[in-house]
Order: sequence, then C-alpha cells, then structure tokens
Amino acid sequence: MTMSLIEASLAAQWFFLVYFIALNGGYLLLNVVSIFSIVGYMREHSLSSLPPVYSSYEPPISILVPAYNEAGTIASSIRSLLQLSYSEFEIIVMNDGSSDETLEVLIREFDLIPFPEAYRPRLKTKPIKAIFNSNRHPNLRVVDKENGGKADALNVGINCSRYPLFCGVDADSVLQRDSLRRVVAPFLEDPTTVAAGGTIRIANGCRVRGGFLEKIDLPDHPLALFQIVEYLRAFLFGRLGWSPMNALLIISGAFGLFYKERVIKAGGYRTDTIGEDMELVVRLHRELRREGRPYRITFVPDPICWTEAPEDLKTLKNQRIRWQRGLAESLAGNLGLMFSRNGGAVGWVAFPFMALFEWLGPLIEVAGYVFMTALFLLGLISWPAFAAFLMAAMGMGMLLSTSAILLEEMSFHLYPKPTHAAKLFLVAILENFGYRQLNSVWRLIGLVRWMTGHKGGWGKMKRKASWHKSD
Amino acid sequence: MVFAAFSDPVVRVAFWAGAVALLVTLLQLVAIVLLRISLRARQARHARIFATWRPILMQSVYAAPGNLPALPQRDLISFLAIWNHYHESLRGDVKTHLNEIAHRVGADRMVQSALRKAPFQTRLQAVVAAGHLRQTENQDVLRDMLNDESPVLSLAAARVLLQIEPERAVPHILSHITSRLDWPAARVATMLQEAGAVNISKPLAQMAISAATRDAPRLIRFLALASPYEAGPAIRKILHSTDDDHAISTCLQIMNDPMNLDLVRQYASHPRWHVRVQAASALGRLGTRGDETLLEKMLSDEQWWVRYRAAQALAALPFVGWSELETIRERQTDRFAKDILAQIIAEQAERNSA
Repeated sequence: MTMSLIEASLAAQWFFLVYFIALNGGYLLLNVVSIFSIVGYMREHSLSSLPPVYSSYEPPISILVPAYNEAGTIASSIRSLLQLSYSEFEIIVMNDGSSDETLEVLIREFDLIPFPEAYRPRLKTKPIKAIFNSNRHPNLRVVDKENGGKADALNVGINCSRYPLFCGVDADSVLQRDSLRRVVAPFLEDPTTVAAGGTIRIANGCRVRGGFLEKIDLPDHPLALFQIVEYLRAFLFGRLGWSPMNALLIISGAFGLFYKERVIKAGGYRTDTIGEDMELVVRLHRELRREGRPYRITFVPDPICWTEAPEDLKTLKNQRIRWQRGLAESLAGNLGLMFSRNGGAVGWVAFPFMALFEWLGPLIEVAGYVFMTALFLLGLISWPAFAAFLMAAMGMGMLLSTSAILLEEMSFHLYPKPTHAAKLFLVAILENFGYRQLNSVWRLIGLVRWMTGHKGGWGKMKRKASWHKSD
Repeated sequence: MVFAAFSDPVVRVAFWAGAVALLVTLLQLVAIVLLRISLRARQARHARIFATWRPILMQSVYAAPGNLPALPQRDLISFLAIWNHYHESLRGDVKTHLNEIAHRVGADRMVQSALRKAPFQTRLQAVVAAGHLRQTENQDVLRDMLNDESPVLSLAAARVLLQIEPERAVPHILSHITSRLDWPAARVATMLQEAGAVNISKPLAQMAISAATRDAPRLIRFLALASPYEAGPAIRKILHSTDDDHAISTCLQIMNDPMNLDLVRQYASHPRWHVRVQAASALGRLGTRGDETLLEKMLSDEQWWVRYRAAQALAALPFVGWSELETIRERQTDRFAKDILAQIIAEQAERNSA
C-alpha cells in the first residue's frame, strides 16, 4: 500500500513537472515565432517616407460602441472617436437599455434627432426603440434598444451598420488617431482577411488628453504594473505567435475589426456567453475551416488601443473569473474545431494548446502547487526537492515574463526611460511570487463556475482614470 | 540531504529546468540592457544628425546649399530618412537643391553601394533615394529587387523604376502587378497614379482587357484611378467578354462613361445582388430619363442594399425632384420600398438643412 502511494506520488510529481515544462516550453516556442514575426513586421512597416496610400482603397468602417450606463463618460468617448483619422467611417452607439442618463447625454451633446431608418434585422436581437441621427455629425448614429447585453448590442450595431467592415470598440478604450488605419492594413494587404485584432496596452499611469494618449508612463500601483507585464506576455507573443499560423483564437472585444458579411453568415455574436469576443473568433475559424475557404484572422502588433486596468483586487478577480468562464464557453461551444479534418494549425495546434494549457491549466497549476506543498508539509519530500520544484515553476514563469519585456525592447520600446525597462524587468520577476499564482486561483474559480453553471455577471469596475469624464 | 534529494531524477530535472530558466532570464536581462543602450545611442545619433542636417535641408527650400558638413558612412541611414522625407514632402526647385546636397556630400555614391549591400533598413532608404536622384545606372539592381521576397522593398523598387525611366519600366512593373499579390493594392494604385496616365494608361488598358478573370477586377480598378479616360473603352470590352460577376461588379463600380449606359441597364436584373447594387449606383451617376422606372422596380428588390442604392440613385437623378420622390413613395405598395424611400428622403432633408 505504502509502495503504491509512493509510486502514485512520484507519478504525480512527474506529471506536474512535465506539465509545467510543456506549458512554458510551448509559450517559449511561441516566443521564438513572435520574434521572427515582429522583426518581419517592423521591416515591412518601417518606411514612413513613402507617400500615403490611395485612400479610395481604404474600405469604410462602422465603429460599434455598446454603451450601458455610461452617462459620465460617453460624450468624451464619442468625441474622441469622431476625431479619428480615417477616410470614411461611421460611429454607431448602441444604448443597451441604460438606466441612467446615457441616452439623454447623447441627445443633448450631439444634437440627436429621431430618424426613420429602414432598419434591417439580419441578426435576431432584442427590440430597438428608436434610431437617432446627429444634426451636427453626419457619421454618428445612436440606437436605443432594450437591454440585452453587450453581444446583443453589438448585433444591433451590425444590423444598423452600412459599411463592409465593423469595429467593435469598448466605450472606455483610448485609441490613437491612426488606429483604424493600422488595424485595416491586413485587409488591404490580404483580401482574404476576415478579422484583425490589435494590441491592447494598459493606460494606467499614462497621460490622456482629449481622448488621446499624450504621454506614456508606468503606473505606481503594483497591480497595474503586473498587468502591464501580463498584457505584454499575452499580446506580444501569446497572439503574435499564433497569427502567422492563422491560428489566432482571440481578438479582444476592446478593439477588433471584422468583415461584416462573414460575421452575419456565422450568426453574429452569441448572447448566451460571457466571452462573446473570443467565441465569435473561434466560431469563425470553425466555419471557415469547414467550408474550406481561404481566409486569414490576423493580429496587428502595433499598440493601437489603450485601456484602463483594474487596480483593486476585487475588480481584477471578477475580471479574471469572467475571462476564464468566457474561454471555457468559447472552447466548449466549438469543440468540433479541435482535430477536425480541415482544422489546420488552429484545429490541430492552437485549440488543443488552449484547451490543455489555458482551459484546464488553472486546475493543473493550482493542483500542482497544492500537491507539492502538501507533500513537503507532510514530510514526503525534502526541502531541496520542494525548492527544486518551486525553482522550476517560478523560474520558467520568470523566463516567459522577461521574454515579453525583451520582445517589447526589440519592437516598440514604448516606455522611453531606461528606468522603465528596469522597473518592468523587476516586475516580471516579482509577478511570479504570488500574483501569477493568485491569478491561477481566480481562473480556477472561473472554471469551476463554468462547470457548475454558475451564472455570474460582469460586476462593476472601479474606474480611476478621469480622461473620459464629461468636459 | 541535498545530495540525497538529487539522486531522485524528478528533482534533478526540476532543478536543471529551473536553473536553465534562471540563467536564460539573466541573459535576457543582459540583452535588454544592451538593446536599450543601443537604442539610446541610435536615438542620440539620429537626433544629432537631425539637428545638423534639418536646418541645411530646410534652407534648400529657399536657396542652393552653401557649406556642407561631411557625411560619414555610418550616418547614411539617418541622413537618408530626413532627406527622403523632405523629397517626398516638397516640390519644385528644392528637389534640385536636395540632390545637389546629396552629390556634394557623397550620399549618391553611398546610395549606389547600399543598393547592392547594406542592412535592410539602409537598403530600403537607399532605394527611395535612388528614385529621387534619378540614378539610371542602378536600374539593373532595382529590376532584380522586383523579385525580392520583401513586399515593401520590391514595391519601393518598382516605384523608383517608374520614377527614373517610366517607359522602360512599365512592361516590367505591369508584369509584376498580377504576380505580386503581396503588394497592397492601395500602394500599387498610388504608384501607378504617380507614374502618370500618359505612361501607364495604354499598356494597363491592354493588360486589363486581356487579363485572366481573376486579375481583371484588380487591373481595371488601377486603370480607373490612373486613367479614367482609358478605362471607359476597356470597361466596355471587358463587360462584353466576361460573365464573372466580380469583374462585372468592379467595372460597374468605376464606370463613368455614359456611352456604357446600355450595359448598365442590363445588369439591373443580374442574379447576383452585388452586381445589382453596382448597377443601381451606376444608374444614379449616369442615368437618363426613363431610368427612374427601372430604379423604381429595384426598390422592391429582396436585398436591402439593392433597395438602398436604388433609392439613393433615384434621389441623385437631376430630373427627379423632391416632390417626385414623395409621389414615387406614395404609390409604392411594397412596405420595404416605402421604408427605404422614407429613409432616403429623410437623409436628403438632413443634408439640405446642414
């Protein structure tokens, strides 16, 4: 009995160790792909002295802005979107049954009047109450609708949109003036592109004026700093690594550009999932693979969208629980893609990778830490053995995090001061002493909630940034 | 105790995995520091070169250059970045002055050398500079670059060849336009427009007419932008010879010659909706009396976009006034036709009140 317990314990140790090595090894491989990808990208997009492209080739874009109880910030958000530099675009704000004065603010600030739009419900949604045009801004419309959630609001926006591409934007996203021009580039370079996502950066600590980023700096709050490193890791090689293989499974809801007809054909955003942004992308892959059509879903590494990260534990916890649930729902709802006959890299590499290391990852990671700690406390492994495991787990974590900092130095080096680079490197080390483990616990809670069918909500984010407050 | 633990293979693997990870992390720290030092040095060098050359290049806007500092080889890329920027931004005599500066400091010789062998970024800037310098002796090297795997380098070379000697370059460039699908259409269109209709239009028109179905839409769009006058006859020939709906749709989209109106009318009932959309738009641009009846029928099309464009086209016809639009709307029995006209009438009202 004792021998079989020892054998089982040894087998478990090997399992957790091999898992940690495989997880980190996989991400390191993605890192290598990202290095080549970003070097190639910087080369091909470096020549600013060429004349600007012929603007008639830039397809017009509908910017969709779902809004729920954003009375305090919506006016300045829309004003900054109106200042984007692009040949032709429209902004559609979907007021999703707000209980505050969001609609009243919009009507007042943008001189809205009801408009007899021949609304065309190609996607099924909750009823709309009215459509407004702006007397002042011909490219601004507002749709007032019954509350149905973000996905439902986006589907209404798609129904209303007039242009072949739509861009879903969160109301609190801070874009750059040329964000649309950058995110549309893949569509101009490759006509088989159906979706493109951009890098989301953390705006905490930066100076934002008039809705645009004026100065880049690092925040002081440790939680925000940890998230900067995390976002660099997730975007710079998490997504950049998958993009060349056409295996990108996530485009952030904060800023992504889609070919409208293809999304309508896929059925639009699902309203019964909390991760509607990821679910749509996975479903697009599944359907296009099944149809055997050539297509690309790609990632633009330029930093083109900035967002505020939570600086309190409660909001951050809710966010990570929600993300994990969204991931589980997106993958579970599209299992047909995994190992499918025409699955390509997305079905045979990215999906299984996500399933093993992101979907089930929190369970195995938390179990690994708990198991090894229990063995140590029970005296079943020695302290040098326990230290070796911790060194492996945390050391590989540090390697991944510092790789993200290295990739940032090789590419955009947005943080100008040498002290910034030093600070980020230090944070990349420190995040492995508690922050990543805490994240794994939150993600495990998200996974359990998904498994048990617990219906959680979005929660309320405590916003500190004042740049979107009404002028 | 430590040695005893290390007799266990799982502990050994864990230890070495951690140790290697930490070692590589330290190496990454060294790499980050070196990259940052290099970046600072590059930025400082660029700032110094900018501070030296910007006033001189600005001065060349007004007068021929006076005394010039020396240009070391290592400063070439920064110099070319500023020099190319001024060339792209300005017109007139200043270009002659800029070229004189390049000759006097030896930048022209360095550009020739960099075209053959240099780091990628320097080579790219050298290609752009070769175009501004009109260096005819580099055409062979530039022609080889048309086949380079880098889209930005090959396209830059194509543009420069058209700048240096357009007549000789046009056949080479046009043959690459259909094969280099990695050249963004927007950049190709800009390049062809810069080359000028007189150089491009006839060979491009000929190519569009004889192109394979797959290539025709792309070429006809380039032709319409580079030379609308040549596009009309080419569009007519293509529409008579193809039944590819993508090619038809593209031709209708850019059609501006009233001589082709008879062709447009026949596409108003095409089975593909995107062709009908473009036919409706074209009727709005070119239509004559009698076409309002055809457009009125399209208001009841099953596709929203066809209805919308037909309604817009009706409103755009110069002989259909406000009251006639209302009359047309009143007599519609189809709810969708009524709704779409109501929207267009409201849009017109908004535009008129703005």
